[in-house]
Amino acid sequence: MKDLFLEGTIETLYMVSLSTIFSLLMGFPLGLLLVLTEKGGIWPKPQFNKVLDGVINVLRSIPFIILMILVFPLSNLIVQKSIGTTATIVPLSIAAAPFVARIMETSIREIDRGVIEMSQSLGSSVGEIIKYILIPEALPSIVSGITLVIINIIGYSAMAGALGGGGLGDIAIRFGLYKSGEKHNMYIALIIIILLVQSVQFIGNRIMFKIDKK
Amino acid sequence: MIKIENLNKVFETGGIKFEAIKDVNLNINDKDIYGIIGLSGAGKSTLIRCLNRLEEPTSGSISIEGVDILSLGKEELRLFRKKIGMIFQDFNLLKQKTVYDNVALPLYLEKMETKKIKEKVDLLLDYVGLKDKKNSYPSELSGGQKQRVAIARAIANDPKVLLSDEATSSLDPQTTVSILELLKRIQGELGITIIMITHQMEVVKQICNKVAIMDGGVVIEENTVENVFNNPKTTLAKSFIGSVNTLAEEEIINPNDFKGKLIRLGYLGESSNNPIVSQMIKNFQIEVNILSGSIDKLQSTSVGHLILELIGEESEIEKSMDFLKQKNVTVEVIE
Repeated sequence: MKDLFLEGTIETLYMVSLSTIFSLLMGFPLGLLLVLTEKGGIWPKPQFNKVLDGVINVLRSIPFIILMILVFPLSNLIVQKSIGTTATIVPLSIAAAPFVARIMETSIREIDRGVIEMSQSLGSSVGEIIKYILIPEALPSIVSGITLVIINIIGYSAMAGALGGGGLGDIAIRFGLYKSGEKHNMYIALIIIILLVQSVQFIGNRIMFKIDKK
Repeated sequence: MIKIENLNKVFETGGIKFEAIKDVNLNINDKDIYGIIGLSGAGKSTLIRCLNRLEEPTSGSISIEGVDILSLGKEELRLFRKKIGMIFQDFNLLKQKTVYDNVALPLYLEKMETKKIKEKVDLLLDYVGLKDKKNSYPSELSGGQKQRVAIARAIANDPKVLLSDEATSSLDPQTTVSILELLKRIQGELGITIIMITHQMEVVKQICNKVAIMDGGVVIEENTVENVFNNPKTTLAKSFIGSVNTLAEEEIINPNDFKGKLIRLGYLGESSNNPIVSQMIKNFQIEVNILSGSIDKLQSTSVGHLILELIGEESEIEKSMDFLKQKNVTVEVIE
């Protein structure tokens, strides 16, 4: 029994950590592009911006459980499987990426317009503005955003359990729904998920307070 | 040398046009500390932002050190901006970076070697008097200290021109004085040209040698600071001067309350060494009553103002006023 939860926790951590990394890799540049290319932005491309904004909104509107089914073929293509823990990383990353993009966008928008003008007055290129101004200045806010992303992915990953995604969600659903005599197992899985979320929030807050010099 | 010719800037929002700058012509000489003063909305900030094209002018021309900056391409402009430092009202420091990193920013952008950056930043911090704040973050500094960091950063690239956009407007009077002293020292020691946007005549009075007064996007008066203080031509100039000295009393003095003629005298440093008023009293058959007086210390000289009541025959009063004019005193009748 102990092994069951250990295995479930490891599966969840595996799914969540890899999905977080992939969603950041996809969402981070998208979020940057959203801010850079807007009208009056540092690298204005208004047409492109509108399309990007639309695509991100559409992706964010799709309920996760449906997205998961929709990307079965893609999961199949990438990991040669459409269900299972590894396969679930594909829809999890895709679901979280637009969320990451929005978080990135909001964090960068918090930066004072004057600071960006200052860097332009120093003759910075777009790349230099990203490197020296946007990312360092938005970092605490980005970290707190990443905390939200991880917690969201933990939630999604539990949902993925319903479609054979493995992990703690899978255990909770299996025992909670199908094995009436062993409901306590569902509660144990639930408690572990709650603890995971709490620790992520705690660590995220600690890092943010440590790096924020504002 | 900075030459601004027929400069216009029109903002257009939702089909409504707003002329922020109208046909501005200015010549700013090397090593000037050139003040541009105006009330808020006068277009002065837009004007200074046109100089490094943070704002794109609608028409006209700007040449800085012989370079026609409006013809520069994107990349040329980016490189040219490195030669023009700029400081702002809100300091615009990187909040997540130390004082050191803030000052080093332009040098990082130049891809200078770390060792050289360190030497230069230490020198700059020493220059602005913040050596001990090297590892502090902006949130730990006072407003004046923040502006010093911003100034160190603005001169890190050894610019020829420094643009100051209301740099002292959010500082208290004492701090303002110390920041102005720093700017003056920089201008003197590094031989750079400073253009100061401000709404405080106090600032112009303290460090500028020339001043342009803007109203509604137009430069309505432009001259050396002495001449403007001595003999302001426009009402706005007078009211700006009034804001820094006791001239405000002039408003309280109502000519109808006096039987004699009220005149306002303005004189520059040299004239104040001669006992002109007493000579006037001796030479002409008039009585003089002093109503108000003040002396303003300017960057290079001092300007005095006197409000006198002249009592006597009209012809004698005319003669005494001519006498004053001969002595290089500006005379204005208050009516």
